[in-house]
Amino acid sequence: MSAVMGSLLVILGALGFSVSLCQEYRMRLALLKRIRGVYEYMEFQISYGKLPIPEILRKLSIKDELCFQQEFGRIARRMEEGQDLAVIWKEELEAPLKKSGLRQKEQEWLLAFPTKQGFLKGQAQAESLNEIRRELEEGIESLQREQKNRNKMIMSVGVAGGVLLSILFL
Amino acid sequence: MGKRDEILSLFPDGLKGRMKPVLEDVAHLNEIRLGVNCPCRIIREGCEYFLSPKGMCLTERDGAWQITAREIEDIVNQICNYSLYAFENELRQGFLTVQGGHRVGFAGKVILNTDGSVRNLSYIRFLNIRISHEILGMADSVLPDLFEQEELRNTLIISPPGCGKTTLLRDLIRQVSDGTKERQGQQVAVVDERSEIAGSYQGIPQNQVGIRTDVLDACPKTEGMMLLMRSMTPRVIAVDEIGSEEDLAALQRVAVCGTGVLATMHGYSLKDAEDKLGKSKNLFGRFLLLTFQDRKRSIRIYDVEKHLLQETAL
Repeated sequence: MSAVMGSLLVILGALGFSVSLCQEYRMRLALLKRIRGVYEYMEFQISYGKLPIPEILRKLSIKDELCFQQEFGRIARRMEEGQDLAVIWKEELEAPLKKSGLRQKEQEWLLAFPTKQGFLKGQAQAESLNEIRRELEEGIESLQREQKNRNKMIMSVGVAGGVLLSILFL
Repeated sequence: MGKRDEILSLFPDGLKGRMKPVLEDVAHLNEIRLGVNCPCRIIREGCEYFLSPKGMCLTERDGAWQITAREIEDIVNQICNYSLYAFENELRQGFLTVQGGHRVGFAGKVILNTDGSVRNLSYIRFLNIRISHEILGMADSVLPDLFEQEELRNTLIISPPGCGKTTLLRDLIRQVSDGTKERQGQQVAVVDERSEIAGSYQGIPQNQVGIRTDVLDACPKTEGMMLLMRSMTPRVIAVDEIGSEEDLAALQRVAVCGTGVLATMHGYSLKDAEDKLGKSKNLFGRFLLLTFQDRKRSIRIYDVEKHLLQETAL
């Protein structure tokens, strides 16, 4: 009886591990979608509102449905103190992005923002952000495709691994 | 934020160190002039100095800090908060008012529209940072002579450039708006076409213009005056640097409605102003002629008959 219980626990453990791996993918995907939302919001405010960057960041800092609210708030404040955007952007966002579980290339989509500034026309400025958003969009689509296949594979391998382990223990 | 920090915040981190020593004496600083491949120049109390790379004021240009195109770009980005697109209209006009009411003038390569009008500036290569200095109380000795039977007479301030007519106008606005011990404050409306009177930043006046003053910032004078007459029902309207026929026609309409006028005009003498005013010369009941010689500012006040009422040093 205890052997059967043990085997079941091993299988459940393997299943849980697979689910957590899948969850990590889902969270990555969700964060990328939120970053896309940040860029969409910025493009809109630049094209139609003609708002300067610190003001857009301050608005972003109170948007719960997006991400990095606190960091955006701090960047806006530091920009108004006259600090260099490229420096503070990196200082404020590099650490939370590293913790987020995003791959290096995915982190770059947000970290690259300061390099896309300096256009005289709002439309041109929004277009330059749109370039990043398009890359981000492609990244999200490919991750979604990858996620479907990977999820199946992870679950199958996880369950099979659990069964195999339980057989070996028995 | 103090005046020193307001100016310092216009410079990127890498250049702040150079500007700090010279900004210790910001109260006497008039302008900072920057141009690509040119020495950085500081105008202090009307005298020109050159800035060394360590931030020291030099009387000779040798050893002065030569500004690079990249440094100018960094400063422009800093001034515009990395949001040049948000200041498209200001860049087209060639200047921008920053926090504290200070003005930054731009020059560089102009992009034209097909009709020949200015579309925008690209390759900004020259900057002129003008530090705003209010002189509170400048109008103290002048104000009593502008009233007749407790009514403010329409007043025109005349002076050559750089003599302080906008500074005087600003203090007049403040005192008329706030009121004094002798007089109650009045509702004042300001059409601040070049953001020089109130020095508005994001629509908020950075200079003291009084508690009963409504400011229409960066609006053409003629449209602005009519708009304010309709919307804010002022007792007094104030405008800077009138001169065109459209300005005078709009002022006539304002006066017809019974609203008082405070205005300034470029000019070297009363005769000069009369010539520019043409048929509108009877619009004004007081003329203030400002002069600035040997670092001394003086003012003459004339009535509608051009009789001298007062001559005083400011």
